[in-house]
Amino acid sequence: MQTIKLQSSDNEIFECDLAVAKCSATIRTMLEDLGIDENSEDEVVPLPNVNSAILRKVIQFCTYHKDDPVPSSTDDDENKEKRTDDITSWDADFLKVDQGTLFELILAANYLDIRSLLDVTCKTVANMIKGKTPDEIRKTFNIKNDFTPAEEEQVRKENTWCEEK
Amino acid sequence: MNSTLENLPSKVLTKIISNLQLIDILSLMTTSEILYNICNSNDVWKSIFNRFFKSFCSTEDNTMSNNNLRELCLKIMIENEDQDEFREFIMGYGRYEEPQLRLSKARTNLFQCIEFHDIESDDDSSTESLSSIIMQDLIDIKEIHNSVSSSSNESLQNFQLNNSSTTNLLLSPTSSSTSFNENVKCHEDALSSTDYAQSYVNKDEDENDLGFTRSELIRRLQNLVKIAHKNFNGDVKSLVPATKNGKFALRYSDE
Repeated sequence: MQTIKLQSSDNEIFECDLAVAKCSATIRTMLEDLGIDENSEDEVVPLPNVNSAILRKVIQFCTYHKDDPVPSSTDDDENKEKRTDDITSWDADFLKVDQGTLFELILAANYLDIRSLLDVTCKTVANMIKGKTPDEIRKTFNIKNDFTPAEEEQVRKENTWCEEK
Repeated sequence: MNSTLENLPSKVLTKIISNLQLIDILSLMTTSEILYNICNSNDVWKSIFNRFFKSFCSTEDNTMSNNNLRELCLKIMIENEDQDEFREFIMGYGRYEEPQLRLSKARTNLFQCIEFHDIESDDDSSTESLSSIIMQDLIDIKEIHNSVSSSSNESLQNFQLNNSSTTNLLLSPTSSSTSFNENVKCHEDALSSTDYAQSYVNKDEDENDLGFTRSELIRRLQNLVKIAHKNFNGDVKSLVPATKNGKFALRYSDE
């Protein structure tokens, strides 16, 4: 089994299955385009945007999902109605993390270009927003209301056309 | 760096938003200025338009400049806000039951085109276009049937296209098992209007404006009424074409 070494931002080295690492389109591109020799024992792929705690989670996710079929790009049609209630129980358990970690995972999935991880984390955040009032959303995500009262009134007015009569 | 919702890259936020219903997006927009600015981008409005408003958009609107989709969404909203169906769709009643909403829309279109289409007796193309509109709606209904039935085990797959008929344009339910798992607002107004009775043509096998024989059209339209009305037990009496005012309808009584 071919392995590859990944280096996190805090300089921890992770040795993982090449197939697992290749879940990341970014790593695939690095290997293919930048000519990093897959067979070289000493070669280490640096991932300066991912710390060790997050990289460990990402590798765990990719190891579990490495045999999943690659989703076709047509699935990415933003106009299609998307379901957010189809998160598998493994993924749901995997994502039972604090909010900071969840967002770090999103950033890592975005940076490493791992579609399946980005999809499921974005759905998880969407589910945290769904059905909530603006106040509840602020509370959930610790968002500071930085509108001035006048601005808030203006925004509220602009959107009244979508509120219940 | 402490990661929060607000400092996610806008590409990622847009992806999160694409999983939300309109009402949730608008709630998110009103939480803070940062999120407002991200949500108010043209990319997000394009996605909102395509997901929620496109199906209500007239051809005229569609050819309007795409530069200000927010205004276009607002316009469509104002034009349609009195329609229950639209309000339900936008306000998110049953927001996660999209197939039923599409079904409801397809059905409404169907009855509107049956009721309101102007029939030019010497213009074959108009007949054809009416038929194709009906056909499209029936296909919609059929597809929705399938999607509803696959999730709810409703036996709704009893529909098939009838290709052997002279017209092969209308759908023919092969059984009366047409129970929908939703409440159907009956379209009595559209269909039972007795005003049309004045110009009732009492020749049973004359070809009507759709090119069907009368009895065939009555049979097919009866089936449509049964499809559209949950637990319809009434009696469909007759087809009432009113070529003088370009309308026709079914008369029925709902006992």
